Amino acid sequence: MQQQQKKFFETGRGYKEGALTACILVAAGWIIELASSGKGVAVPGWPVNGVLFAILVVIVFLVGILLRKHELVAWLGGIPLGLSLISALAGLSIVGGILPQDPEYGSGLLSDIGLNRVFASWPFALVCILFLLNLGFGFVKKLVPFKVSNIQFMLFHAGFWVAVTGALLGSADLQRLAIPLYEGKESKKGYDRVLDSMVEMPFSVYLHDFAIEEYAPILGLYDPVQEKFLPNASRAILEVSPGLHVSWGDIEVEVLEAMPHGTLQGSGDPVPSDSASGVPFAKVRVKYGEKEQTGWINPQGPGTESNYLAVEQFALVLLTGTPKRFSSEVMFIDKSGNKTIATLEVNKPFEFAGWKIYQAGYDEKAGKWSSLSVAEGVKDPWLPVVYAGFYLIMAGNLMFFWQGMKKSSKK
Amino acid sequence: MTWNEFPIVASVAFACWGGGSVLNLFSAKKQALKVPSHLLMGFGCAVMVAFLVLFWQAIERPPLRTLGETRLWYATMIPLVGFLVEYRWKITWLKFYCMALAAFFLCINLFYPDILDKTLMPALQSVWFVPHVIVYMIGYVFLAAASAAAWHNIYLDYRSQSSERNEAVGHYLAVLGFVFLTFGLLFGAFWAKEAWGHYWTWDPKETWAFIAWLSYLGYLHLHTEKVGKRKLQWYLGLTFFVLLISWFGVNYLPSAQNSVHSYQVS
Repeated sequence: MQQQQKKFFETGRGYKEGALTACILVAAGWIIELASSGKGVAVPGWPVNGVLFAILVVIVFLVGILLRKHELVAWLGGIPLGLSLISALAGLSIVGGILPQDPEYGSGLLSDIGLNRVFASWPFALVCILFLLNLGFGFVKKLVPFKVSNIQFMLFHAGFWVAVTGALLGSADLQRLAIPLYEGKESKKGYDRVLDSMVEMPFSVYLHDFAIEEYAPILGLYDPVQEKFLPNASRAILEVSPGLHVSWGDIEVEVLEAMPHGTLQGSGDPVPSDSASGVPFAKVRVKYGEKEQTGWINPQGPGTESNYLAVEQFALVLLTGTPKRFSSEVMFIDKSGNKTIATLEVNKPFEFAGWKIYQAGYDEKAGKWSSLSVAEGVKDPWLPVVYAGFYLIMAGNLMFFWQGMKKSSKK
Repeated sequence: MTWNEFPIVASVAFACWGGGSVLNLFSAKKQALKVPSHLLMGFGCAVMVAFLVLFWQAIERPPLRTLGETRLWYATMIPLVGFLVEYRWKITWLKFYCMALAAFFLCINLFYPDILDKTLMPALQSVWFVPHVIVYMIGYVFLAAASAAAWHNIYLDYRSQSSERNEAVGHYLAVLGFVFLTFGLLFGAFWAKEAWGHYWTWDPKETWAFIAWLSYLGYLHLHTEKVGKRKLQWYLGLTFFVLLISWFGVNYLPSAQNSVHSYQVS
């Protein structure tokens, strides 16, 4: 049997040239990084990026159609170069996927050539630019002459081109502001991480109330020597409720009473209170060996010390439940004074005046007593372009699935 | 039904897959064993499906948050791909690899048991949670099967027994896997926009998902270019390791300290 052996870098097919080009681009990018003392790539904002988008489209179509027979253009839109650039993108992404992408991380050559911010560095940008040309020419090659059988290819490639181009060029117009909000106060400014400064927003936000709903408090046995919580026999996170039985080896615990919110007055038993001023309490009975003890345990809160039961060398503690839901009741006020009331919640952003406002965080140390709520305001004018690309990819993807199944059923 | 009952469930699944496989091997000589063998192997998956349903009910949230939970899905679905391949392309060997992989994933859960935790942090409470994760799981399952097929093809090639039909199956599985990987990536982007404010932030998990996607994109183009068969099978077999990094290896990398994709109980 004659094996059909083709070399990866067979001359005349363009692999060698493709690989060389990718290497040169990465090296050139690093040289630019070094020469510009690590400033990275600054994508120009609107309208220059819009013009660049248009120029790219024109180049792709004009050159792709008129010079399609030209050897260089054919190679530029070919798979050998595409594969070389995919490898280069993957290689750079691997660096970015291993090293922490933080300007504070690393020093010397590593940060000088931008390995701690790979995706905003010149090598990545240069590879992306040629990749977009490659993708564009590849697309045009299949577009003319038009064939129905090429639709899947065209949707996928055009979608990828539009999404990547939109995302890269649009990144200059993307604004993300962290907006600190305090209960009972109005805020007009947000912190821009890119500019590293507070900037004025075209509207203001008034925080009426910030609230956290928590899961039930958790019972834990803490080992101060190992500095960790010990797994119980049922290997479950124990949400406290009356009647809960649990054991750690020969230590047996029963929850007698559970109080969702309470306060301590003097040295007596806790008394129920409202959610705002209280902490959870649990009355537990612990048996170990011949010994038995009963008592109230609770986590720390404002004005309330934490209480635990000492069980041999361990501590039986009650921990505040993790957040189930946190939300901010806010009022947006635009420049003309129009007011809009909204609730901000994780996964449920609110749209106002062309911005999307998110519930981002709060003062985690203060927990449910936090009077600070951090919102995030995002304005991304290029989002429709990127999403258009995503939808094209999905359409192509559906066809790919259908094609694959059809092809396979023939076998 | 929770992790407490899992060892029993896993044992039943092992017994079904193991017993079914033995019967299936003997069925080459004794046709009458064929149907019982398939029923037994299928029952192994049915047990896993039932466990997933009851587990979902017991923890009152989709069991898709921890790696241990996702391994349950993986172990349930991958033998089904093996059965699908047998049903559609009459290739019988793949299902054994698939059941072995499923058993391997259940073993990891047995040796490193999860702590049962019903909570679901606010970021995960989204309509995108189930579609994003399940689509990815299906993608991983297809690509694991594609990788198993590739390794088997390498072995067959080594013994000069390679066949176009076997190679075609590996390719179809890779195509199907890529389709689901792409949907997973895009669903993740849509979700990230709703939850974190931006569709793409080069979070380590995103970066590795992108690298894995690029790797399979590379495979598809190499296939189009009709690269040597042997090299292609090696590529397909090895690419799965990139996917494994994206799946859980990323948690062990220096970059992971900044990841927002960490939902594991500490």
